[in-house]
Amino acid sequence: MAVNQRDVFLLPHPYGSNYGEPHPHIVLSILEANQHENTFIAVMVTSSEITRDDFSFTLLDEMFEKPLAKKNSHARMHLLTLSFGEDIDRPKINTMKAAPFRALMKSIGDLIFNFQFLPQ
Amino acid sequence: MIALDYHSILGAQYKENREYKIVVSVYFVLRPFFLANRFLSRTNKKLVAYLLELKGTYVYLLENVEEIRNENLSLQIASIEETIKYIYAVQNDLEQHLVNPRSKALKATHDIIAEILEIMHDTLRLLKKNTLKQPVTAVSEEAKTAVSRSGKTMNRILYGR
Repeated sequence: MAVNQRDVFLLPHPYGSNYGEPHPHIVLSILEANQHENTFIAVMVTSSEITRDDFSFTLLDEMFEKPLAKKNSHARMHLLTLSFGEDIDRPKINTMKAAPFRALMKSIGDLIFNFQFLPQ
Repeated sequence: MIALDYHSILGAQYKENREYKIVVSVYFVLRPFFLANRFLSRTNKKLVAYLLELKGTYVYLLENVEEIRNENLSLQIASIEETIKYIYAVQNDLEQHLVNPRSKALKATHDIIAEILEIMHDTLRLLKKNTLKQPVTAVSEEAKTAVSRSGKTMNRILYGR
């Protein structure tokens, strides 16, 4: 399955469904890198209000091609995960629009790495 | 002091954005009439003035960042996030009518709003970067899951298990 930048996948808990609920993840890495060793880098999304803080990037329905499954969703910008393509067990659930994705990447660059991530 | 003043500005901007949402809705009602484009051009002039004001505020905050560093800016952050929500709603309304863009003024509105959103995200980032950070009392389940996922992937890459 092609894993494209900006795709949103629901990834199951790494140690099985008994350990916890699946979380949506927004793919940050580009297709070429994802295909190299069938891995991809994604940022975790949650709707938990307890974890909302300055490392949260608020996600709105308007930022995606389809409305979000849960309200009050936010990306946990410091929780970047490395996953295998085969960790995906269902089709993508959404795609983030280009402009808000650019804002997300700039925020991750600035607030997590103290670097300017600028698109080409 | 800067933080307090900025909160007042954000309050005014929030009210102004609610008006823009109404303006956009009114435009689509008026569109069949010839006055609609003049109405939209006038709105665009106001939006450009608003954009310049936002850019000016951002540059001012950037130049005076030492004065807001480690202040509790949570109120300002919450205000700007609410404002961003409204602007995205306005942009969404516009995009639904831009499938076949015939009006240059409408396209201009869309472009100005996109730029407004960009500068608002820049300002939000600046505030988040410099606000007083609250210490975390416990590691979240999300953090544990993220680390487990990456650890599992690395183990398979490095050790094949």
